[in-house]
Amino acid sequence: MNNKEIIREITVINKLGIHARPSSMLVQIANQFEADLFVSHDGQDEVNAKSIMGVMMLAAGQGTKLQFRAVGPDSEELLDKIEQLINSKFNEE
Amino acid sequence: MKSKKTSVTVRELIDSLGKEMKFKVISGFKGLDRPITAAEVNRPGLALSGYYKHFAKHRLQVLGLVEMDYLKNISSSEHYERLSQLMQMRIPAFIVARNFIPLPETVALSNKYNVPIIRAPGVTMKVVNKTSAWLEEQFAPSAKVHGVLMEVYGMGVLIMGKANVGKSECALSLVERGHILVGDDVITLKLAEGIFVTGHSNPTLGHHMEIRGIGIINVQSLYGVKSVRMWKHIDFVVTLEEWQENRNYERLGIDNEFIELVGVKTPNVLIPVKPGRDVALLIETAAQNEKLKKLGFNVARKFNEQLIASMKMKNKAN
Repeated sequence: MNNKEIIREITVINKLGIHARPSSMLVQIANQFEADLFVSHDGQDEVNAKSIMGVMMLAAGQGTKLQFRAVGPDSEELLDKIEQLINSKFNEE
Repeated sequence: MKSKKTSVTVRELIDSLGKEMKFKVISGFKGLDRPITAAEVNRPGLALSGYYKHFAKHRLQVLGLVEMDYLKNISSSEHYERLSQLMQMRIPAFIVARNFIPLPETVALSNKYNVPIIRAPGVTMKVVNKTSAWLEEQFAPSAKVHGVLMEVYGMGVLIMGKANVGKSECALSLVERGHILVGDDVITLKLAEGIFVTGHSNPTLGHHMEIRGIGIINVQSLYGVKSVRMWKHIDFVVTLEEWQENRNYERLGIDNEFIELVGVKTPNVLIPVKPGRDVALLIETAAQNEKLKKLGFNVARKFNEQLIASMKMKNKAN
């Protein structure tokens, strides 16, 4: 119950993809939650989504499908926030 | 704590520049406390020829070859009339360049009206330039701030933050690593040439520091004269602050934050302090990073450009 694991796929829709600024926004949100957050795409090794360098390393451009995996008591809420952020195109467009 | 001087006295000018410029007061000693209220100097050629309109009477008057030669060649009644006129306008003082010897009549008038005459051996332009540079510095806006000023890898770093956050300890750590202390606690900021900010140590405090638990130490005698200097251009500010859990600290370094020092926008790097963070190392790194930015190379921005380019390449390939 306390360590609920949820996996959700979210597609990157902003034009420039997840570059530095979006990465920092994503990491900032992730760090506000207790749950751990990991992210990967195309079945590659997942990275810790609370680390900015890790998220940037994904080089997730427009159209990339990202698999987020959240583990922890507030994982559902965290994933909702992340989905909201990505769908808001990081306020870029 | 901003302030701006509005006048200096002739005596202050002589005390500060007298040695270097070999100034010698020859008459009008009673006028040495006259105020100089303008940062520029004037060459009174036109006024000496009788045209007093718009005469810059608040400025120091520099007499060079032309003025001295002209005074020699006018009649004594003209000489008397023109110089009396000028001196009655309460000009601060005359500086005679190239060590020219003023006429006895000029000296007599200077004593009568208490307008000092200062002789200087330098050529006129040099006297004009040196004196105006000094005056400009005196009249520049200045402010006092609470902080430590260091030179780190050639960059002037003003370390600010609340009392007890560890500014002095951090400065000591930097000195230990071979960097240079300008001053601790009270730093006087001055606007130089209208665009740069310079920071000066307090003459009374010198290079003493107070380290909690140890007391007052003298950095110059502990670490040698190589570890101290009197002033430095300020390139950026480091603000130290206790780590706050809920605060988002800069993660990228793409955007610069600024703080205003005597009206000049200066980059400000906010560094959160908590046990285990080597603040001196962080400041060294910040100094090198700011130096790179100054040379036109923003690492974070460059990295981001590469990242965006690589994402575009991948998208094309798919």
